[in-house]
Amino acid sequence: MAKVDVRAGRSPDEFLPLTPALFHVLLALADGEKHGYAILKEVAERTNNGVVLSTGTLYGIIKRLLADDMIRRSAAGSNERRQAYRLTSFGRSVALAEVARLRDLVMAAESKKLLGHPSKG
Amino acid sequence: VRDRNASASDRIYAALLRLFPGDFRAEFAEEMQADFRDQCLDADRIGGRAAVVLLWIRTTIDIVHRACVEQLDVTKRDAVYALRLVRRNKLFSATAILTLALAIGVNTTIFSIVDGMLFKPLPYHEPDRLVMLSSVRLAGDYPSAMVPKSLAVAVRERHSGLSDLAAVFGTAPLTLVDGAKSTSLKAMAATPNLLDVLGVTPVRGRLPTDEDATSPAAGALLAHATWISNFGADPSLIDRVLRFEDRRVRIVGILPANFVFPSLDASTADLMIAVESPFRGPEIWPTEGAPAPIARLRPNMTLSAAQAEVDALAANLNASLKDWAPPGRQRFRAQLMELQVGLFESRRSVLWTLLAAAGLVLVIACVNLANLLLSRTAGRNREMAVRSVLGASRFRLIRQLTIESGVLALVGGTAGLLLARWSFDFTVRSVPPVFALFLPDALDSRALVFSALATGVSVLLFGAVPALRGSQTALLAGRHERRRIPVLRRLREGHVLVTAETIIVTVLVISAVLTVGSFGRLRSNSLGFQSDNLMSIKLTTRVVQSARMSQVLATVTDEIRRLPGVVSVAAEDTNPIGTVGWSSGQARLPDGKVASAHGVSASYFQAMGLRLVNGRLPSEGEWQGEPLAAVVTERVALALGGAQSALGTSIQILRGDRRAIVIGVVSDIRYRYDDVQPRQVVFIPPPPDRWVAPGLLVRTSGDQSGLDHRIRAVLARAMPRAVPELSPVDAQLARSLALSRFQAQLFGSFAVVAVLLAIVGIHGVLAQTVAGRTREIAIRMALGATSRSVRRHVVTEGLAPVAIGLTLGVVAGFWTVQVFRGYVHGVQLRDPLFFIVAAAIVTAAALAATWIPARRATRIDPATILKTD
Repeated sequence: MAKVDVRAGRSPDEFLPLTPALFHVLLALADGEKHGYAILKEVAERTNNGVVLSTGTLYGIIKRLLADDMIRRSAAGSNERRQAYRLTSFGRSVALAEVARLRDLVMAAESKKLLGHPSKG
Repeated sequence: VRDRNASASDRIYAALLRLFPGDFRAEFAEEMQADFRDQCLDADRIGGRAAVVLLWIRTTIDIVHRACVEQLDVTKRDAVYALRLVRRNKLFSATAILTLALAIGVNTTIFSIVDGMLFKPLPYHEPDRLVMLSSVRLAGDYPSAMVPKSLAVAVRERHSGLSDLAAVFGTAPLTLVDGAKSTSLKAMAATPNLLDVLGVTPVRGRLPTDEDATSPAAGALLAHATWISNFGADPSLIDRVLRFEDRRVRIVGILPANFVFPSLDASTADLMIAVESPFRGPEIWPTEGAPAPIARLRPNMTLSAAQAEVDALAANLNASLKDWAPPGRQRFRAQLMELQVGLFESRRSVLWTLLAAAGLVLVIACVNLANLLLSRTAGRNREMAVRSVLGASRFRLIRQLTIESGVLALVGGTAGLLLARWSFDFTVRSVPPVFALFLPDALDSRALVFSALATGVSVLLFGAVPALRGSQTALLAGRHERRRIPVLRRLREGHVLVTAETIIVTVLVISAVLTVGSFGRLRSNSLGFQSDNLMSIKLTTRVVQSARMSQVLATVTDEIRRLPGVVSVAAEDTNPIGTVGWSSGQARLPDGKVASAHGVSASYFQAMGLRLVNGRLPSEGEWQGEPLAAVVTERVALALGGAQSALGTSIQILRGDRRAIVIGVVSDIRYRYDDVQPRQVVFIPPPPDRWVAPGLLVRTSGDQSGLDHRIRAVLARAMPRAVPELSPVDAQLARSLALSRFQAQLFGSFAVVAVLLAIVGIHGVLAQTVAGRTREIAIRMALGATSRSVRRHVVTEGLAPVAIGLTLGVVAGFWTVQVFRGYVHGVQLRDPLFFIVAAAIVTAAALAATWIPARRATRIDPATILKTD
C-alpha cells in the first residue's frame, strides 16, 4: 500500500531548529539509504568522533523522523536483521530549511564582523 | 569465551531495552540489539577492553535517559487521549468528577477541622516532648482537669524525667480602668513558667518570673492582637503597670502573634497573668486538687518511663492517694499523656468518628467510580481488543486505563479541593466551642497534601479493578478467543457493589437520623420558661461592695423597668442559663439530696415567664420579710411529697444555715437544651452577702431597637466601672445546642451526600443490567409479559442487593451507634424508630434509583429488538 504523505501541506519551518543529533542523522541519509549502524558510523566519522550517537538516542530520533514522515523504511535495502531508512522529500526539505537557517546565521555573524572577515558591500 | 561474553552482553542489553515502552521495543529492539553488537565488536577491535567498557557506560546512561523520555511521551499521549475521552463522554465525566469532588471536598473539610486537634503538631517548641499529667477515671473514659496536689508536688520535686511543671488556670473578665473609659479584657491565669515549658519566647519584653507571680502588681503577658488593637502597639507598654478595677498588673512582655494558649477556655485570652505555682507546697494551694500540670520530657526520657516513675511516686504516697478520688467522685489514676492527647482526650472519639464517616463517603464514591469505569471498560472491549491486536501489551493497556482514571481523579480532586475551600469556611463557623482550639484560619498546605493523598488512594481503589478487567478482556479478545466476561459475572459484581454501598449508606443514614433526632429532641426540650424576648445582663464588676449591691441592683432594676419596651426586670445572684452543673448555693432536701439554691428578686418569676403550678408567687414585701420564703420547681416539690404537700415545708439552705418555707411551686426548668433532666432548683431571696456574679434579666416587648443603649446608660450611671455584657437568652441557649447541632449538621450532610451517591450508583448498575438484557426482556414481552410485570421484575431485581445491604447495614448500625455513647443526648441509641426511619430513607432512595431503568425496560419494543438480532 502506497504511503500517503500525511505531512503534505505542513511547512518544514515548523520543525526548525533541529537538534544537532537529528540534523546529523538527516545529513547521514542525504546521500542514500542506510541502516542504523551505518548512520552511527557515518556521523562519528564525519564529525571526527565529535558527535557519537548511542543506540537509544539514534532510535529515539528515528522514531520521531518516521512519525513526522521525514524518513521511511526502505524495503530494498533491508534484510531480516536490519532495516534501512531513506530520506523522504519532506525530510530533505526540512534538512534544506535547516541548512538555510544555519547559513543565514553565519551570514549574520559575518556582517557583524564577528568572524573577522567583513563582507564587502 | 568471546561468544559467551557476547551472549551475556546481548542479554544485559536486552534487559536494558525493557525500560522502553512496549511499542517502542516492538519496533526497534531487534535493530538496536544488532547495532549495539556491531558497536561492541568495533570498539573491541579498535580500543580493546577499555573502549568496550566506555561504550557500555555511555550506552547505559543514554538508554536510561531515552527510555524516560519515551515513557513520558507515551504518558503524555495517554493523558491527551484521556482528556479527549473526558470531553467526549460529558455525562459520564461529569458524574465521575462530581462524585469524586463531593467525596474529596467532604474529607478535606473534615480533615482540616480535626487536624489541629488530632494530627498537626501543636504550635510549640518540640511539641512531641510536651506532656500533661491528667487523672483518668479508673472505671470510665475521660480524664479530669484536676490531679491530686500532693502527687503533683511529689512529681515536681522528685521526678527525674520531667521539666518544671506548668499549669493553666481559668479565665476571668477584668475591667481595665483608664480615666473615664473602662474596657473589659479576658484574663487567664497561669504559672510564670508556662511559656518556658512550651518553649515560646515573647516578641517583646521578657517572660514572667516567680517574683512576678508574688509581686503586688503581678507580671503579665499581653496577647499580640490585644497589644495592637487596644494599645496601638505601644512599645512603652512593657514594664508599665495597668490598673484594673480591683488589681494592678505589670505587662512584662508581648506574646507572639500566632500564639495560642493550650487551653480551650483560655485560647482567646487577652492577657496571661502569672500566678504562683500550685505545685510548690501545701501552703500555697489550699485545696486537695490541682490543675493538670503541663511539663516537658527531658532528653532521653520516654513517655512510658516517665509514667512508670509517676506510678512509683504515687505508690509511695499514702494509700488513699494511690487511687485518688475527689469527694463524691469515682477513683482516678494519674496518667501522663502527650499534651495534644491530654487536651482533647475526651473529645477525640467524636473527632475520629467524624473522620471515619467522611472516609465512608469516600469509599462510596470509590465504589461508584469503580462501577462507572467498569461499565465503560466493558463498553470499550472492541477498542481494547484492537489495541491489543496492534501490539499493545497488557501493561500498556493497564497503564492507559490507569492514566484515564488519573486524569478523572486529577480533575475531580481539584474540584474537591475548591469545594472544600468553600465548605470549610462554612463548616468552621458552626464548630462548637468545645472543638474550637487550634483550628486553622483556612485550608492549609496540609489539607492540600491530604486531599492529594485521598485522591491518590481513591484512584488505586476505583481505578485498579477496571484497569485489570479491561486489559484482561482485551487480551482474550486479542487472542481471538471468543470468551467474554459472562453477563452473570458482571451482574454479580454489580450486585456486590450495590450491597456494599447500601451497607455503608445505611450506617451513615442511621448515624444521621440519630444525631438529627437527638438535636430535634433536645431542641424541643421544654425549658420551663420563655426564652424569647429575654435578655440577660452580666455585671462583671467587683467594685460594688456586696453589702451595697442589693441597694444598687434595686435602683437599677427600677430604672430599667421604666424604660420603654421593657416588660419586666429581675436581679439574680448568678446567671445559670447555659451553664453545666451550675450551683450558686445549695439547699438540702428531706431525702438528703441537695438542690441548687438560686438567689433571685421577687420579679424573677414574672420576668422568666415561669408557670405557677401550685401555691403563690411572692410579693415584694413577702420576699423581703421573715420567715424566709422559697419557691421550688416541680422536681423539688416531688422530693417534698408532691406539689400539694410541698407547700409550707421548711427547707434547709446550706449557706448561712437558714431555713426557708415553701410558698409556691413552679414548672420544671432546664438551663440548657441538653439538660437530660430538669434541674432541681430552690428559689430564695438573695442573701445580702451572696452576690457572686450578679446579673439582670430583662423581658422586652419585642422591639428592642435602642434599648441596649439605654440600658447601658442606666448601668453606667449606677455602676460607672462595670462593663456589662448584654446578650439575648436565646443566643446563650443556642450555644448549649452547638455540639448537638454540629453533629447533626455534619452527619446529616454526610448522609445526604451518601444517599445521592448511592442513587447514582444503584441506578448505574441497574441501567447497565437492563441494557445488557434487552433481548431477554424483549422475548418476555413478546411472550406476553405486561409492562407492569416487566417493571416489577426489574425493580425487584434491583432491590434484591439493596435488601441484603440494608439488612447488613442495620446490623452494622446497631453496633456502630455505640460510638455516639456520651455525645448524643436525649435519645436511646438503639431506639428502633431511628432504624425504621433510616431503613425507610434508604429504601425510598433505592426505589428512586431503580425507577428510571425499570421504566426504560418497559419501553423496549420487542419487534424491533428481535428483528435486528
